[in-house]
Amino acid sequence: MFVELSDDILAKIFGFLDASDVLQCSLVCKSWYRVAFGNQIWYDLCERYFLPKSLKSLLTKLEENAISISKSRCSESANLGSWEFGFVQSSRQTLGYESTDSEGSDSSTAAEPSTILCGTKSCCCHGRKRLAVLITHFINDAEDSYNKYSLFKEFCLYFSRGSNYVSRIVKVLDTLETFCRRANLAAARTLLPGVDDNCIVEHVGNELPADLYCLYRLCSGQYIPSDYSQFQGILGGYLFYDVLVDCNLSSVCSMQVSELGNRRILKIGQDMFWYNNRGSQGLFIDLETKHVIELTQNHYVIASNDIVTYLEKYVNDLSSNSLMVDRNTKQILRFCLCPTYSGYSDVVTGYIRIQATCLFVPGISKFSHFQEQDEFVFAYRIRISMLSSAPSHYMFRLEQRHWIVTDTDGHVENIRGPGVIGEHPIFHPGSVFDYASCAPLRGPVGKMKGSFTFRPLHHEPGSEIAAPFIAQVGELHLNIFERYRFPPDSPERYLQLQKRWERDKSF
Amino acid sequence: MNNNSKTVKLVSSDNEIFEVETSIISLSETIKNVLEDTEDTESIPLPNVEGRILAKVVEYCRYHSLLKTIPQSEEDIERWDREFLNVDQPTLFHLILAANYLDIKSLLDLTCKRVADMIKGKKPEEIRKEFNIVNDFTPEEEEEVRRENAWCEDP
Repeated sequence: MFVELSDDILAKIFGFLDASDVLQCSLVCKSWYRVAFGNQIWYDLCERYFLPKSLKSLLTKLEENAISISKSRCSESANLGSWEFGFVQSSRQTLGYESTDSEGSDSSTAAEPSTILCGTKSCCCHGRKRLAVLITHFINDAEDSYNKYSLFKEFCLYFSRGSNYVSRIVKVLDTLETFCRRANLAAARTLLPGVDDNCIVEHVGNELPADLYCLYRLCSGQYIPSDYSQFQGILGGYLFYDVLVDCNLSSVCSMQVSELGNRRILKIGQDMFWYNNRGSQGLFIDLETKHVIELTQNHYVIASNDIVTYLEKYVNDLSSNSLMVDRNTKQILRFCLCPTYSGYSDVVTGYIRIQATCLFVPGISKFSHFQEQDEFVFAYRIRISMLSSAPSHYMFRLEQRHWIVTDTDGHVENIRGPGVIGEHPIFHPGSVFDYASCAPLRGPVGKMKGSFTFRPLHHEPGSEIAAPFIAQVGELHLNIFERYRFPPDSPERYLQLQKRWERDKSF
Repeated sequence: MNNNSKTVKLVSSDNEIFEVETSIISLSETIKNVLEDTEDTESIPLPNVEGRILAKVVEYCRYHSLLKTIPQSEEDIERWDREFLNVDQPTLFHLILAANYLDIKSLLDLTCKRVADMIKGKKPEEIRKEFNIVNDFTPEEEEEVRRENAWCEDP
């Protein structure tokens, strides 16, 4: 070497490398070999790849949840052969399990018939126990007696080809979990333990992309049971006027590989706004490109480049409060209040700020060849907030709403009423009020705008209460073509509008 | 005690003298400690650091302590650091040694990361060639390490 570096410095350099590069370095010469297998390097790699501390709290919570969920639905899950049920059953049977088993303990279950795969000795349980032991070793090993390289290797073997994604997925699940707990959401109960490698291979062969594989190793998907209100999938969801609008990730055993043209695609769940829609086929992974796609009447829309990015965006929306939580049902409304859709407005009147966004919901719309009866339903979300900069004694009450909806033909409808969703919220500086509702339109394109009347409740020193004032809601463009495509046998009028949209991208 | 106008003389192994403001060179924990321990230090001999390397170190400290008063964008700092490290390999390695000896954490990180980037994605033979390292494994030993590492197929 041009200049001799001490072991400490070499170790510092290796600290900037990935595991595979460190292993390459171990082959360079004997002194590099010695440094490359230093405990600290592998301790740091374990931290970086697997976030053991977060993983541990996640595992503990997932296991608690699995038990409570299974207790509440033993009877119904019995013949579904659900993994979570099996997991709990087996964890009871193996309560005396000790950590004495060594590596390769999973192989004994490989030959078992799939029907009892998780029922008896349980691969899931066994593998997860082993994982829990590894994590405990990592966290509690004060004397540094456990070889951190072996530990890293075992972690890697547990997640096999998904190892690269563990830290990102753990972060996603951790954020989701924390959010759900804090907001006391129904979705928290549906976070379930992951499944074993054997289960995955059994049901989808070796076709899962590495990231999705890793996700299912950490947190299982869901069945979509008949009682929707209980089970919102790991991503939550919501009931919209009694129609489930959800984004579930299906359980591994209900996954199916299918073909679309010359593409092989894997159905992983329902997409939020397409559920119950006649044309909806759900959320898929393109096995070749790894893209997350939405299919509606075989129309292929890329929702994200990969599943982890898709989930990261989701939890990011959650943490930044751009998704809304229904105050009554405690469910996450997967309806983003952010300017991703062209139907978005943000207007400040005095101290009141009103953000609004809208989205077409095919699932609850009715459109057929009878154009007079057609109804295109747009959901809208409103966030009303009072600026914190307002004087601290200011207080406003929302009195009235007024909407002006213009449909495809230019027909204008005025809708007035007291309050919003049956309430008259009161605002102080910093208050926020969120709600969602919907508006039916007679055609696929239109616009809506509106205003709210507020009554001041505070006294200015030495004067009367001020007069009510009107806060504007900026105009929203309603346009189904941003998310929907008519099938070829639809009414000519709709097809023409669609053509115009595709050509001009405006009306 | 670090008043801006106060300076100290750093003496390199080849007896080059650098007069530097103490506020700037305090980025080095080693020098900072010396200055704190002995009130009226006028010069500090640095027998482990050559003049041309010490010049680079002072340049680094000057730019990075200036950032405290005149903030720059992340990209600008990155660009400056990249330019700064545009040196031959022996210089880079001597900078690492100097940063380590003078205990300048950010410079040590920067230089080590630069070496790590030179290693990334390379095969052992390529790494040896890059850094002029002699392979002291016997073919059997090397084969055994390879076998040990085989579980990790480019994760």
